[in-house]
Amino acid sequence: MSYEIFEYTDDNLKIALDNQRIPLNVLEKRKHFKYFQNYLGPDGIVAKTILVEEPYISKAYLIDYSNYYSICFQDYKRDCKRVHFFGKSFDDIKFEKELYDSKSNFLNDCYLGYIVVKPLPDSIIGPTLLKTYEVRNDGMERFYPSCREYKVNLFGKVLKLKSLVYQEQDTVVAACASVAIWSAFHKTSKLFDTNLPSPSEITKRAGNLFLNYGRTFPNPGLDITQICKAIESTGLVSEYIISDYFQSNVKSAKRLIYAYNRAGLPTLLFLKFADGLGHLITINGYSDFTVENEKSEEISLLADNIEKFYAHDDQVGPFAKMSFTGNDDIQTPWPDSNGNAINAKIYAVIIPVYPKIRIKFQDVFDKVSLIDQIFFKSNLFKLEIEWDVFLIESNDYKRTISESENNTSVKKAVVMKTYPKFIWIGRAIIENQNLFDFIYDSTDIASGYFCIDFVLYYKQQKFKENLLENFVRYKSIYVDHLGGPKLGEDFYNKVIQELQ
Amino acid sequence: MYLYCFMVIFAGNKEAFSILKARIKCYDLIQFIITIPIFMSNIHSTNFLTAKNQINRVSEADLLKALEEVKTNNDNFRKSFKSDNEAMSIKAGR
Repeated sequence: MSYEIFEYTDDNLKIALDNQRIPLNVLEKRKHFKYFQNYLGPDGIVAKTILVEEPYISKAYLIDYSNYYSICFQDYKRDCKRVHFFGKSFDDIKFEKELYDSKSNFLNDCYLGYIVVKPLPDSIIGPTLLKTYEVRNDGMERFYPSCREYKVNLFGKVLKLKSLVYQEQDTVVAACASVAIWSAFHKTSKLFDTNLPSPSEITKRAGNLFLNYGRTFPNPGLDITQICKAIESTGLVSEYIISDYFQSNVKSAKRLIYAYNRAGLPTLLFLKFADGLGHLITINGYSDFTVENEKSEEISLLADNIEKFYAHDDQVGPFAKMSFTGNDDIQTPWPDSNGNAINAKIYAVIIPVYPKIRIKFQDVFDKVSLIDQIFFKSNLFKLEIEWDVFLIESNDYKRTISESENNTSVKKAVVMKTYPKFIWIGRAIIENQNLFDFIYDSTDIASGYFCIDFVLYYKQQKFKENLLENFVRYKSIYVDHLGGPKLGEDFYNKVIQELQ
Repeated sequence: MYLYCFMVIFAGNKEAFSILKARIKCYDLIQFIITIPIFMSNIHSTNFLTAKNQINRVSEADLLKALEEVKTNNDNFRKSFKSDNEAMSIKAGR
């Protein structure tokens, strides 16, 4: 095993990513190369040093190699090279000094991630882990709930990185769908302790019912049945939603994606382009947003204001920006022949979830929208309530409350309670002030009383009085009435007790 | 305490000032200074609450009617969840 160190420049990046199978003048014109140039450059995560490790055995590629490339007549290599990036400048002497110093954190502190270069003629970008950039130019943040911690071993040194693995589609063993699912599985395997198949194994597991054209290998892509089947093969279930609403009212998709993404669940977005072709990407985060909703009869959710999601798009790069156009299209970073961004419609949303998460976003949304309507008709607030509806692991919920600036009584009311592993939250917010949370049991049945707790943050007397009066006045509607929020008598009494 | 302060500040009430002077101890003063921002933020943060007399006492029947409308909208969204032949024919493989 050997290594080479280069100063980070565009030319050196080209040399580092060269696999001897694609001419350099072709490589530099590829979308991925341009994307990495921007991502790693001064406007991105600002790489200063490149370290090339060769040979490198990539487990994901090795499995694909044994499934396909090993029996090709052409001699494809079985090992890859791994290109590491660091945010500080150093040479060989400094590198080896830091490498052998067990107490030094120098390499870990400036580590930006790696790109595996596969020895293939077309798909060269293998498993890639890159640091995310957190703060936008305008000072607002980016959130990547689907990232997880990885430990990268470099010549015996363990480097830690928070990211989500990415790779370019291999048009032979795994088209975009298999690669998007593979990225999503990297997070779900950590979240739910499920297995992690390689891209070619995902393609195999997806099966081929021949409802469509093509063969399993070489793979022309997966249809929705196959995508859902691949997800279920790991012991997860597919939350599959296909609706015309996504194409005419993109808010409905934003709400859904955000609600699951908050819990770290990557969302698979099935996009449809104007030419009728389909594409699958993995949503892994979203950009911070400003809330500017006028008071209206229709419910407002925080997620309605999201301007950008971040996605692993195997045709573009990791954490690619997906913004929205005025006519409910999603603007991809794909350029057309004139260099303009291509728009697509959201065709379907597929979320790999743990089977015990039975209550869906829509079940919680239905309840919250009714409560919002009661408040609106009663004219309880002068300003619009913003609802934050999301799924969260109960321990994460307790941790955020515990670390918040809420008073001790609120913290105690939450952290001492027993909740299911995953809970749904319906949080009422006005002007960045959290008012209260309704907590919903994700394991319950949708037709039951699945609201299990009420956490009051805003304890101002006048607010409590107004809310209490409203709850008492419309008790029968709140408790159990056709079209009501169905809180149940016992739970209703708990809310009243909290407000008194 | 707040009442006396307001009487002194806004009405220039001399009697209130002498009562305030007699009652203020060092500890009170510190406590008072600490509570000013909380008091002010309370005034600000209750701005979104509707005054009691402006709260609508809408009848249960009217409210149920409004809720039925919301429920219908939500149901329509649920009804739109359907997979057709096109969904089965399109592949994600661009």
